[in-house]
Amino acid sequence: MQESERLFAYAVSRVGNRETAEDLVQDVVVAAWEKRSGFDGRSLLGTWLFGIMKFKILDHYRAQRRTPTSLSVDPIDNGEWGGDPLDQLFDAQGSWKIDPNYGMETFVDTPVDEAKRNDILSAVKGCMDGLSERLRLLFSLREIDQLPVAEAAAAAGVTPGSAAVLLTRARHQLRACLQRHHIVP
Amino acid sequence: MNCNHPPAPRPALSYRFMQALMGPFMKLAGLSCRHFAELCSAELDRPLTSGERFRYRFHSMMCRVCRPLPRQFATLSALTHCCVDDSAAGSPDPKPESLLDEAARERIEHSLHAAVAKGDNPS
Repeated sequence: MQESERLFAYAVSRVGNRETAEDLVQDVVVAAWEKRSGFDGRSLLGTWLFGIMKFKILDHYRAQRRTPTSLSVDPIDNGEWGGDPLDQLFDAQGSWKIDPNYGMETFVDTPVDEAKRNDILSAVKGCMDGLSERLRLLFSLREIDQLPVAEAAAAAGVTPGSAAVLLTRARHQLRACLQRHHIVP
Repeated sequence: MNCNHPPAPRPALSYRFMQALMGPFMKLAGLSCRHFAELCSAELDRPLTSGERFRYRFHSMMCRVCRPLPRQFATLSALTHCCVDDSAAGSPDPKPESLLDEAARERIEHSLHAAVAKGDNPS
């Protein structure tokens, strides 16, 4: 059951809802038992279970897409920025309003392993939490699960064309958030 | 997130001067910084067309301010990828708010026992 706690923490971080996360853990535990012959011991048990959990999370989003929810209302949303983040970063002729490199050296020059130990990772998480639900979902399906854009768009309930726009917004919003909130030269 | 840091300053005077001179033409030719920023994101999702590749390279060559942008996005991608996986999955001690409560634990154990019983007795 120790693994189930980690599975639950992971599921909560991905779906943001305790009840759904509990259901997912339950599904994973049962699926793991049913597919136990497929576990050959070459990987850690936890790694295998997390592999199942990732599929369950994708199934969850795909199933949710078929159900009318708030996620399928608005094809393009702008999150906390109240508009296209690019409009706030660029002027009318497409020039930067702010210096995009101010303070970003720390961010870019810190190796990932080191970033895990310091505040950069928590800043990334904090900024991801600031994305709207749809942006966060689409961005995490694309960047964390590394789904192709079309599949991520389908799971998030948007068209592939909208997904390209939304992913651009998400990346710029995150980049700007990190610049605004965390990275100090 | 709370912000205690000063906002990023305006770009350097030399950049603003160049943009004042060239900005309208760059925009017209699809070579503005905003176009470049959009291409930086697009190239992470799909192969750029030859026209886009040309504009991307040309802008990258011309604009010192935009040049670090692809690396910033690559770093963001790498950190995002490890942040969710590591924060929950790799952490030996999940945060208290991320712990299963007793009722959920029992429910999961019950469903596991049911699956075990079903496996032992397939009929």
